[in-house]
Amino acid sequence: MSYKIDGRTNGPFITWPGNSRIAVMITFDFDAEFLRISRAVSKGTTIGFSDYSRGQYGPHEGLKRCLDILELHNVKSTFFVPGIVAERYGRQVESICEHGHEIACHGYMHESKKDITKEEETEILEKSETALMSITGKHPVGHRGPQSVIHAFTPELLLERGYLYSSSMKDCDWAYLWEKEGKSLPLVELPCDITMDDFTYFYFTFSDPAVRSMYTNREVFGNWKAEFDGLTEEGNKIFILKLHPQMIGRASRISALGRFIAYMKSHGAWITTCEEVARYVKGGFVS
Amino acid sequence: MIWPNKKRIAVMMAFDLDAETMWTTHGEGSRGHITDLSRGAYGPKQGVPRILDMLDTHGVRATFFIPGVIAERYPDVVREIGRRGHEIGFHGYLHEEFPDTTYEEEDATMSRCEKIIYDLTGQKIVGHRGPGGVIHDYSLKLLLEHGYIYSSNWRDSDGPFIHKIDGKEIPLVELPKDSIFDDTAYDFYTDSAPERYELKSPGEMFEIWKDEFDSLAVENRMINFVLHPQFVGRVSRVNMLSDLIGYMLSNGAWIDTNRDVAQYVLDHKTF
Repeated sequence: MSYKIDGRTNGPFITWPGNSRIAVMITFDFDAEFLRISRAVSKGTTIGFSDYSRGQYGPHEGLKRCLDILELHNVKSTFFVPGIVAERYGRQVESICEHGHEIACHGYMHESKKDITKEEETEILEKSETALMSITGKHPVGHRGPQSVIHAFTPELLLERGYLYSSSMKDCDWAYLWEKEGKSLPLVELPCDITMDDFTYFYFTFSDPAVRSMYTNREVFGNWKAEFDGLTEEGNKIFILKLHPQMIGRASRISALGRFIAYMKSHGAWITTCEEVARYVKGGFVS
Repeated sequence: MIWPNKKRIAVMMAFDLDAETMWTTHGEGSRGHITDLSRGAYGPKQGVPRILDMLDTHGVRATFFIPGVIAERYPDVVREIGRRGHEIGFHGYLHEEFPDTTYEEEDATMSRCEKIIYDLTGQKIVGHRGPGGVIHDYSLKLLLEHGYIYSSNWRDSDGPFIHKIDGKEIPLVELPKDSIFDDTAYDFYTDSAPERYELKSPGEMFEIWKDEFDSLAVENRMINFVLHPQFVGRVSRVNMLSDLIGYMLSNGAWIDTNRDVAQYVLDHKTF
């Protein structure tokens, strides 16, 4: 990562294809009920039927709306899918593929435990990759830690397993290469932030401390637009929306998302998959 | 308070550059949590460069309270803060928030941090903001011994005021702060224990701060901000801060460092 504080560059020098001002990735964590099940484990609680059912709103209702709005605006997206979701909701994950979107790794059971060994994570990755490959026919090239949990050994493990990028960190608004002992690794990081995560605003449950009130679309999309506008002006940044079909998939929110996609398209955004951005970024660093 | 040049109010843009120490001292929930720590890194890496450029746009000087360990970890960032004319104040070495720290320990921590900042920037630290709002019954005495001229820890007034020891005034100004001017009351969202599920929009923050500014300006008081580059450093919030600074400058604000405001108060004491 060529980070140097010189008062002007808020990131490395990078330009986006076709005079685009920003690289936008509209990503979905398609966790279904396993988001809530794994959270309950990490919070030391359990969930009942209502949370289980809330999670299933994703595959049963939200996903189709997500796919439709992406198709309407003709944009390709990345779906991070836990292995077990690919097994349990095969038809839904197939339809994501058929629409031409990227499928990436997001744990097997959406495991979000911090203290696991490299062997345990290897096993999780193997199981997830097998489940995803049985639908996509290709090895995933991207990884996002469930609940943003990754480990010190994760980047190198991803490299060993042929991954191109990771999207878990929250340390800046530009894409960079991971480093080890001062040397670049050929693994791209595409950082995101809680500000652009629908979970921050729409996750509702009585099963753990997260119970809270709802936010209006005006507030949420207002925050996202303010971030998008500012980052676009800076010119060398990425913007990742981190969405969950069980939350963003409600009718009113999907329609607001559609408007926002249209806004970004007409304001200098290159909207594509994480894989495509990562390939572009890696090419730029290598050449 | 009568402020210089007929200004209506003194405003200090003050940033606590806690970076990763925000998370290492926040509780067990973030232990070993790489991406939580990366949220801390956003401060020096992404937030500060953006903030420095914005402050330059307005020609405004600010105060950065920086834990020693963060200065050691991000020396280029700290040098740049100094080079751009901003003040650096004491904020612990590890962002220590222990109520039972002894006088000797605190004395040593202060000396250690003063040396780190002096070596990087040539600045002599003259102000103190306790990490996590923690201070000790010996703190005033210690600050005097270290030649400090201000503290920014009290929350009981809209200040400024002169501290006293045993009923006698000492040459140490208090520049109070409050959560209403602390960005973490609005934008410190975390899903790691202890969880904080709140995220206000930049517009809401602007509205609350502008209302408070307008009313305090009528009383000729002061505002001391508590801002964290890892949170407020997102571009949408820096743009909001820029709007706010523009508004305050246009409406009678004297915006300067804690050090310069403290020195003015010591020199004039025209309450």
